[in-house]
Amino acid sequence: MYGSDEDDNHWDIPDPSPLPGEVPEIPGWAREALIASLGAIDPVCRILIQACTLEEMTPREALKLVPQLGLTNKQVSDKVRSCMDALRRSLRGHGIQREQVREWL
Amino acid sequence: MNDRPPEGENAVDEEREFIHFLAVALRGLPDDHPLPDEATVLAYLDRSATAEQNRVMLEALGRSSALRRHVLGLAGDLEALESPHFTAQFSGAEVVSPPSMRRFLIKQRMKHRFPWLYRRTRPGMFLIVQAASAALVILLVLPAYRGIVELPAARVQIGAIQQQFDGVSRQSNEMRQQLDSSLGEIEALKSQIQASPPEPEWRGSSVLVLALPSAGDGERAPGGGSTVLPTLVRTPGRSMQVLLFVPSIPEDAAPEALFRIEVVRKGHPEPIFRDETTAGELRRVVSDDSTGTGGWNLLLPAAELAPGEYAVRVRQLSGRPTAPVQEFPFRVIESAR
Repeated sequence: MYGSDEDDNHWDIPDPSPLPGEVPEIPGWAREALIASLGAIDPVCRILIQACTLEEMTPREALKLVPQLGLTNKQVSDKVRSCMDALRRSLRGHGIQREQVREWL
Repeated sequence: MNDRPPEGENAVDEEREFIHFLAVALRGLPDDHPLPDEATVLAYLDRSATAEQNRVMLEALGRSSALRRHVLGLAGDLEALESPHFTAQFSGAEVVSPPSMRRFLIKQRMKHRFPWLYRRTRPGMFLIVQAASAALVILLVLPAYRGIVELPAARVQIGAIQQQFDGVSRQSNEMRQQLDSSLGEIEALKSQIQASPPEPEWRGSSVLVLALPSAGDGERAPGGGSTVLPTLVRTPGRSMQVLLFVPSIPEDAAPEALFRIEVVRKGHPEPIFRDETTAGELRRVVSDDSTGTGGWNLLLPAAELAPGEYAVRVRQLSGRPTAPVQEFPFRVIESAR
């Protein structure tokens, strides 16, 4: 089974805001840095992060992509958070700061 | 971004911004990662995949947005299959429990959700089967179709040709009999004409000899004498009538000079008969003694010769456009009988 009913609401990662109709211009080097950072993290984390951001899936939906892991919502939430922290550190190493992200968005 | 994790409202905002950035940045990434084969996808969804199959699937799911969406939909179907509601509906002992049945259901749903995957994994066989099917259809259906379409058309065409042939043959026989009859009557008249000069009025059953042309339109030729017109009495049952006249061809008319012969009815602008020939042809026919008539014959349908006044007009069309028109007037009356 996927996530249990008890931890259905255990998701402390904020929902992504709706994607704008016009995609902001992200510099090529920043996009390459993001791809490199994604490739460096755990494959399951990468799937979950992309599902929760790009496909705007809920945690329960994203769990269905990795059925063999048998993770609960809390486990997925914790995994995603840790992966996002790792990704953020990786991007910082490429010179991408919060102020820069705000400017691009 | 700081080394220490953000805290409070600021942390939530920063995470939201970061997620937004990820969504925007990842949106334009190419989605061209090779898709796993059918066995790998099946094993992954059936939770029976090997370590290698799991690695391939996670790699593909991490790179292909399309595959993530498809797997998510399929996973939802599998979750429904395992639900208590579904099991109760179909007494799952027969439908869900046996692994073979579950795999069968997964495969059927995959064929619906991943048609591109099946086309991609067996392109050669797909094309071969399609080509063979098309060839079979052509071989089996096309000849029958052609037979269905062409045979009746050929029958209709043959029938039309047969009818035309019969019609031509029948008309040819009728014409030949009429001509034989007319020629026989002309032969009989020959002796009468040669024996005595033509009368101003002569009644014949089928041949009218127009021996007295007028010099112009509606005028009598000098010396014509009588105002009585040559009269043709229509004979019931005779379909064709013969007019015999002797046109006067000017001596200076070149052999290729064109002449028009018309039969007109008084009060009607359009002629009932019109023909064109050369001076050379007219001379040849008039001087031909083979028939003994010494004139130009016109064979006209009796139906065209309603009672009334007519004239045969001969006009030179070339060489001497101002030449006078020769006119041979006559009239047609119904038989008294």
